[in-house]
Amino acid sequence: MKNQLLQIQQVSKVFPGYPWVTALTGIDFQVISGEFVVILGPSGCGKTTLLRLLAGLEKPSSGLCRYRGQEIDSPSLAISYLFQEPRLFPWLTVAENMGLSGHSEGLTALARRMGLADFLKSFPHQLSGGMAKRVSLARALLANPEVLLLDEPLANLDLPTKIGLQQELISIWRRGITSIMVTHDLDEALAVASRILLFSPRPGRIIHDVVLDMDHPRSQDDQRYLLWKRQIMNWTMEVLNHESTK
Amino acid sequence: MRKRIPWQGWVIPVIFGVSWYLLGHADLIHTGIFPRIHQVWEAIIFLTQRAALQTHLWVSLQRVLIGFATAGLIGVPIGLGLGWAPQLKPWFDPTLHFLRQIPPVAWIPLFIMWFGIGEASKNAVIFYAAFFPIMLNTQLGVEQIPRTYWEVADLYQFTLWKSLRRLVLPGSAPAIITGLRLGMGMSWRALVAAEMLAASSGLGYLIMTARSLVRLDEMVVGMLIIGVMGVAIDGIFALIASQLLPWTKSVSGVRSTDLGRTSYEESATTDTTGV
Repeated sequence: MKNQLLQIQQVSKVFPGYPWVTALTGIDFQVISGEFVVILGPSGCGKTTLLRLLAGLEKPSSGLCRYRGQEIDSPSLAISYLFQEPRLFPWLTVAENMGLSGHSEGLTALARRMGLADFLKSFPHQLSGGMAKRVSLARALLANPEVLLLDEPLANLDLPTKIGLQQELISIWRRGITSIMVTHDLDEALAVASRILLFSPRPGRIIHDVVLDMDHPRSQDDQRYLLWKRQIMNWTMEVLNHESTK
Repeated sequence: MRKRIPWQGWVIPVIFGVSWYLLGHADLIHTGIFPRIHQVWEAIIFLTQRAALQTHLWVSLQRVLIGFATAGLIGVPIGLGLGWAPQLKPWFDPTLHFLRQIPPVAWIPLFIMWFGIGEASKNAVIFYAAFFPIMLNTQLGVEQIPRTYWEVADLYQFTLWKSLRRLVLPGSAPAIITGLRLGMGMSWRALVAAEMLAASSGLGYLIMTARSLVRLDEMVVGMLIIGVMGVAIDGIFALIASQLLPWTKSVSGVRSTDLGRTSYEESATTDTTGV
């Protein structure tokens, strides 16, 4: 297909150790330009590992990850990664942290849009958790990526911050940045996703791959939202029952 | 700015000074064992008036600064290299560990044979004393930079230069400064030892000459000046650190009392190698 951005082909990842841990097994899917894919699954199912493979921070034990046909074997600025924790350098100011990718055109405008304009000269320890996350997101965006990988971006945030950031993520995606988000929270997934990949418990594999036919902004009272929610919960229960009878 | 010494810190010195004065006044100090406080004060005035104190102090300071600066210029880059490239560690660690065990004073006879009785041998001893705390703390500082920050550098494709400037140097800076402070302390100790063994000037020499003339007051003057200089130089380092590392202010606070808390020398036993 023409707009295929990412291809994940039969990817497995095993971490050697005592015991060996199989994080992912037989993962196979494609991401088309303009999608907002949410990878939904329980803790420890290898979601973060998958993002790290796509970011080029890890290599698969078998299988291939490709970006525009090229194998991903190291990080590239085209695929940006929002780590779960902000990972700002404490010795650099907010502005310097934002510009770490080397791209700084549009820094001030972006800072203004994300409510960071007054903090550009602050150090990370002077920021709140939500603010630090925004700086981290701004840093990822300034690299001018085509794909944005989001590792539990809404976890551990208070409600107003969470809602604000959720809207920010949707508007980033609307501006044409293909987004892949990892979460274990069904409501977070349903709020933003254009497509959900439901993962099994470890070793992670895809058990359902669904496209959501809903517009943004979404309401939790919407009929289709509730139907999807029930459907995905049923699928999750099926997996749990299956696991327990094994 | 660095915090001043809290008032509690003055209590013991003041009690000591007052007792010293009172005991001397009551004629309870045998001047053959320890001088009275006013004798020490008079010795300070006497030595200062003849410019002897200034000369000895200046000579000692120069020796320390040359040896210490050389140790910094060589120790910091080597520490950065070893911390950055852990694959080098197995090659160098055993040798460095071995050399570290040999007290700087033990090198003095050999250094005198190599470099003569002049300044070079003293500089070499001070270099040797300061090198290990500086190098090892720098290495430790680089090793302690969290792996998560290295991933950020990978992700944003830092060049070698950018990694050095944005990650390695600032990330290890608190440890480097701790290393420099410890190195400076070691320098002083080694210096005095070197000057006591083979010198014709300097504070160590002052103490040794006083000893041979049984001038207890001048011996104590030498010791006091060494202690005061050590505290003053360390204070200067703490001040530089707080100016240079603004981000550590609220995180850990760079104060003189933090000296060596995370440092390499804390767990080592070579602290007294200088004397």
